[in-house]
Amino acid sequence: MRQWWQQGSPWVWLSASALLLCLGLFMALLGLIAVKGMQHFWPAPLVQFQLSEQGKPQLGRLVRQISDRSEAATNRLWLLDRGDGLSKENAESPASSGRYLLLEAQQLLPERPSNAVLVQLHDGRTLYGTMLDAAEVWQSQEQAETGLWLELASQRPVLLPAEDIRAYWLPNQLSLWQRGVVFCQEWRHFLTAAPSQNQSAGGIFPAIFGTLVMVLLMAVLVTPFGILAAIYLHEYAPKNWLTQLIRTSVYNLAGIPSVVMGIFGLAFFVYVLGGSLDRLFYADQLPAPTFGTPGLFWAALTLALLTLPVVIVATEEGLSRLPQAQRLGSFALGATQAETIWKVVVPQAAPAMLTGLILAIARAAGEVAPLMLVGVVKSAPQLPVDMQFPFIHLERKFMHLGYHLYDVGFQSPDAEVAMSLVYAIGLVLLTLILLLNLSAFLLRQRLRRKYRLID
Amino acid sequence: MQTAMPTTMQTKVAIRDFSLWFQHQQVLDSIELTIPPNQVTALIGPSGCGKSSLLRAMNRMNELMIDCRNQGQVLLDGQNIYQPETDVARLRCRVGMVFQKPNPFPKSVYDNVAFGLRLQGERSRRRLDEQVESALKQVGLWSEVKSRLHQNALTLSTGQQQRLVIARAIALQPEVLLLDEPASALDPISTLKVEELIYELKATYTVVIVTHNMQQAARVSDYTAFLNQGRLVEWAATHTIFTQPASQQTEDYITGRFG
Ligand SMILES: Nc1ncnc2c1ncn2[C@@H]1O[C@H](COP(=O)(O)OP(=O)(O)O)[C@@H](O)[C@H]1O
Ligand SMILES: [Mg+2]
Repeated sequence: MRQWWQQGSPWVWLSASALLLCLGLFMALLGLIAVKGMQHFWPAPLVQFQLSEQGKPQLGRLVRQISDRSEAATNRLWLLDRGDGLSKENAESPASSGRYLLLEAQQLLPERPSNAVLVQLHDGRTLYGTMLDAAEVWQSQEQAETGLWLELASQRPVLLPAEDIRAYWLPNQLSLWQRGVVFCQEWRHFLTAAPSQNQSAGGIFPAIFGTLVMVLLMAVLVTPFGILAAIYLHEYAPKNWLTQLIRTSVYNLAGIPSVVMGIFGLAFFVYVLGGSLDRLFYADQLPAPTFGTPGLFWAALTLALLTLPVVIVATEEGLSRLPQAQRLGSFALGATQAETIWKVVVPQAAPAMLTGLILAIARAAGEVAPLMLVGVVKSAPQLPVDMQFPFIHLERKFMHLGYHLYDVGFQSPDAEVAMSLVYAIGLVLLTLILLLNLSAFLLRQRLRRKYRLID
Repeated sequence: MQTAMPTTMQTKVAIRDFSLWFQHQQVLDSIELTIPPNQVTALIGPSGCGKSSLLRAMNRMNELMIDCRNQGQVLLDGQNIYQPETDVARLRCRVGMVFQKPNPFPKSVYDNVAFGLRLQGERSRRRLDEQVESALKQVGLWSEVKSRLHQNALTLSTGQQQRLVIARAIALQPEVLLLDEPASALDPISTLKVEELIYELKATYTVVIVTHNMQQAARVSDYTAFLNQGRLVEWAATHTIFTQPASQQTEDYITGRFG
């Protein structure tokens, strides 16, 4: 035992278990987001429930179980989603008119009708109902329109016109394969469509696009500035206390809370810079502001400022790792300092610069707080890039995945229930960041291979 | 200082009353040294005595490494290289330098040799090819690398890398070649090759070599200068220094009694 202790084995075990714990938590996080996010689009069966003994059975989707501890005994309740098919006139009582209901277990009926249908309308509404055999109804009606005959809650059958329907399926009689198909279709819709008026329905394409454009613009802004600043600091600046002071300050900029950066962005970029731009170039449109209002460019600039220290630190790190002998070798061949920097130093420090960029992207893509002040909105009518001259509209407001997630999950009336949607958005955001990082990572690997230094 | 200086001697580089300070530490103290053209001059002395600093004084590399101050003159063909109007980049093309540890760039063999030429503005592919080939032939590396000219230079062996950086320096056709312990990081075979190379190079270039290996100095050099603690103790033909040194210090150092 003593020997075991003296050989330092405890340290091995301690450090290994710390690593294991980190990995475990990390996997748990990823797993949770992935599973919950995926679940949102997996077609769940529809159930039947009765509000009272005599009540007509209705269709709904179970959201989750809730335990109610307010009474003496713990009571298990089900949160149920009745869809958007309710209208005021047929509500049985005010209490039961909402889309979401809390049910006791005995109110659920065991059978799951196979003709229960889930209909997604183009306007973002979801209906649960019973599909009626078209032939049955047609006997009494004229065959004027094509569409879907549906019996909703306690209404007479209605005909949904085909052009209103985005998709429908019969969840209780789908095979596994068919469920998979529905799952993929719904994901595709989610990723490529715009949100409906009701934020928590429809797709998130504008948010994905906005995030991507904003991050890329940020990268384009921060990379040259960060790299040039680091080159000056490391290669040109005299090595004295002033340089050291500047370096320390820059490194500490990384610790500024992002909300504070947002305030600075609003106060300086939007009002001062944007206001002056408006007075100089868009005077004819005043008082309606063009650049003097939060927008894509200011958001990207604010994030660039936020991530500047990261790029500077990483670049300087790379520059100082480059052996002095490489620089001297270049000077000894008659290179000037500029030639040495551009032909010898920068190519070899490029992987470190890309590391900085990766870190900057990772930081920027996840920031939400400062963006709320400088350009992100709940829903933007237009994408920041389109076919209209000048193609990229820097002054437009835009949507962002992080903000959308916050809005759907915590600001909308259905927040409680939108949780699985929040996971889905989180999953998309995570995937987007991973993809961005992966591409920078692959680029870095290529550069590393090109400028391989063997010790 | 005891120097047996031949009176009728040609001069490539003349170091006149040269002193050098790194920050507040004096590194070189009133050095007087003449480097004859097309000869190999060896600088020997205990480590830390200022051999490398003296070598770097001849192409003004000291100022790149550290905050330094100097006094006196270094004349290249009669021109003081410490004049303010000196074009330092041009000077370093005329006075090439090879370091103790081979430091090829992580580029291809070809690009390493062509680096200096391209800086000079040489763009013609044909002329570049010719000069790269000729430089590699001079250092005896051509037959070994001609099939992998476009491979990363860091895949060569250390000995090959050292000859490559020599080729890189002589591709610029310098007048003077400064070698700072060029063989100290090499194995005996590579050392031998580099020594043979130095012997051949003196037909074309003036060579100054720093070495801490007495046999090497005796083998390759025509003149030897012995430095100690920043001062030039003795400077003479190599043969003289190794057979009848004028100073007791030199004798002690050569025979291994100190240093
Ligand atoms: N980069 C440096 N910074 C500070 N002092 C240095 C540096 N390089 C050399 N010196 C000092 O200069 C003196 C001479 O060094 P150097 O010319 O390298 O000696 P040698 O090549 O003969 O071993 C030494 O005392 C050393 O301490
Ligand atoms: Mg030395």
